Amino acid sequence: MSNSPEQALLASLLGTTTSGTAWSTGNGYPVPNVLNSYQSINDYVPEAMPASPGSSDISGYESDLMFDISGVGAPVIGDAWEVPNHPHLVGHPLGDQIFHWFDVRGYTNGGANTMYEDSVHGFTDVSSSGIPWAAGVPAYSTMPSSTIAGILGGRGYVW
Amino acid sequence: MSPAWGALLARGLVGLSRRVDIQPIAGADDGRHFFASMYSKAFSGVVEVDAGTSMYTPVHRFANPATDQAAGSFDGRWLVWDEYHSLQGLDDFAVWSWDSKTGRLRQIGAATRSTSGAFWSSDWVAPVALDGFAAWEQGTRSGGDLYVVNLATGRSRVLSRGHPGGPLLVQGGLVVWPESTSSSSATVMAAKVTTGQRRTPPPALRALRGAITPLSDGSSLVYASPSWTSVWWSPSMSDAPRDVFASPANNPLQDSLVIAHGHVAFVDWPAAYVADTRAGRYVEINDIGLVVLDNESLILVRPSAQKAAHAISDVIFLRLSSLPTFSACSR
Repeated sequence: MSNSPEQALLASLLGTTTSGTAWSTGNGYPVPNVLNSYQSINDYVPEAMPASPGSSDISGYESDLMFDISGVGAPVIGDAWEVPNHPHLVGHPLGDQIFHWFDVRGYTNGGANTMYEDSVHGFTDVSSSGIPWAAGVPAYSTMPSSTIAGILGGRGYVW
Repeated sequence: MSPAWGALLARGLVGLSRRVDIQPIAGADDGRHFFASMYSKAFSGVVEVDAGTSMYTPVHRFANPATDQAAGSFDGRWLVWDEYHSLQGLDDFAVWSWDSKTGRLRQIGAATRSTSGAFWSSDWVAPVALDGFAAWEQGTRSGGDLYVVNLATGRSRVLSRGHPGGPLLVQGGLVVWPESTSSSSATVMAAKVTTGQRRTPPPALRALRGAITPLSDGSSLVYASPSWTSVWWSPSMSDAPRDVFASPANNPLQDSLVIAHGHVAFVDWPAAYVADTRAGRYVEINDIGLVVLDNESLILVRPSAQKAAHAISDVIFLRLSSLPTFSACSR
């Protein structure tokens, strides 16, 4: 995955606007379509997640996650739909509704926990020495996969 | 949770929350009212809700209820909040203040854009308010600016340009913030809110390292660890913080820390923890999605049964003086 197209070109291909990047459009699914245009390691496909995932949805996500990470060696892409009073990604304010793409880089405990990275994270890494404090979105976090599945509910993931 | 708590939660239900989507922002410090984002056919915007009667007073109407939402704080007189205009992130915002004594509404700030039209990245942290002043950080071309606003006059002052972190307002009329000096180090700065003159930061803040989103009620301090799996608290700006909670499953807590009047609360979803820091006691309340505190009240929101935008969610309003006895803390 050493291909590094320019951000502006990708935004154009993805149809990204100030309203974000859509899960799907009249032309299909922009994120897997663009991913497949720029790499050949993984044949990315979209997987919709019901708003309130059941146990089979969660186990399906965990299985897909392990397949991509351990079998293919490719990240999974999550499309979060966070609503107030329901779980949010780490450091995202719990009272706000937010749509957000993020990439899943690994798992632990047989897929029960999801390791992901978050582009909201700024330049400050508070875990390094010398930083007194910072806003709350870590670059790397690990959450239970069942929680991640709930956050993806109503949108989905690309694997 | 004891039967006494169950009965109290049932009695505290705010009837309005059964009819429309209301998302609490802050308590009104009077044991009766709270501020919220409300979405209804009649009105969508920031409101003040009377928890006893379920009547509401409009504060500011959302221009676009489909995307607008609010987060902020109340200092006993002024409500200060970010009004976010996008569901794709929290970088597009305007900052507003509302004087609860006079009803005066004022826009006191706004995020700015780059030449490409995108908003500069800001900390996803709502403005803080204390004793008539508000403060926040917002992104700029060179990193960020730290704003302090006198809420009585509306006069705005930029106290730092470059790489300030999110500020705290503390007693004694001080604003305190971290200022990055390189990619891996920073200095804690402090200034008088009235003049901007630099001051020595309080010891507890000066000694902080690796704190996440610290909050203060002016006199005490609470924050999360970098992994969001534990909570640290200090009773004053002179005492060293100590860890007071660790997630039993080592899972990250939700970004929902609140502190007021000797109480600290947060959400380890789907449970809320509320601690009386002076008594060293706490209570765990199951099935809670959000918690808000002020000097007089505790406001809880139950998550809706189904995940949905603007779902109807029970809001429970409790006076702190009415709470049953908490359990003793073990830490």
